[in-house]
Amino acid sequence: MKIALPNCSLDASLTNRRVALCIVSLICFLAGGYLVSPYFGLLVMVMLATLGPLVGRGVAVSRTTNKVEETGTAVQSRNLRQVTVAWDYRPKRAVGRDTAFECVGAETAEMVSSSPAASNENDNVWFNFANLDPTLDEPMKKTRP
Amino acid sequence: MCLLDDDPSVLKGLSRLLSSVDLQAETFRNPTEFLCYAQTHRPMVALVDVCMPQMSGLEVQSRLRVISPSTRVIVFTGKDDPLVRSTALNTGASAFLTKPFDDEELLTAIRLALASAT
Repeated sequence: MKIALPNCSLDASLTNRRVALCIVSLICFLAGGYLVSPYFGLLVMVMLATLGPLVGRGVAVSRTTNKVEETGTAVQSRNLRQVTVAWDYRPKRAVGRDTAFECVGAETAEMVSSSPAASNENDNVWFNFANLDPTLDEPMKKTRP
Repeated sequence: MCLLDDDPSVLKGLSRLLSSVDLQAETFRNPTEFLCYAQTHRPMVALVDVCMPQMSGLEVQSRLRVISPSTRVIVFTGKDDPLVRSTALNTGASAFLTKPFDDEELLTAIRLALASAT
């Protein structure tokens, strides 16, 4: 099954082109200002008057672009196939009786002192091996024989 | 064996898992219905969720212990509480599982419970 991934290369190239255009424009303005230094003050005013709206417009456009990209990603994530419903049933490894005995962590050791239980490495499964009879009132204190 | 959970999606998933290994399970969303069934049918193993609106899994376990002492109880929950875990294990649960767990882990717990029940 093919999974459609968002195509970001076009947007990235457009953004890079826009940034490069801004840098080139700024260099041209500075060079022009240096060449016509007697009129530098006037040129700075013109430059600010021209660049201010342009920069503001660029920021607005970039924000709009980001929102559009986020919306597209959200729609794509909603359209993706949901693999897990309640929890993940995929097997990672088999957990046997011996495995449960070997992987006794700190929390397990604490529990073993009060109950005949042992857990696996993930600490999400606790076995009660000593409880052979559920009607026992006094469970065994040790897990290992 | 019996499955008790208030979430139908969990029951559906567990039923499919068990049927894939040729284990037949009766599913229940209501603890009272489950206890009535257990009183008459005495299932070998019962998978019981802890958090249910009508009755907690620990209460179901304690009642099941009176109604059907031979039934092995496997308790599972989405929230790992050490007190709940120790209570469940000390009062006779064969295993305590916290979600998410692997299907192999659950099947191992069921096999151990079935082995101890027979």
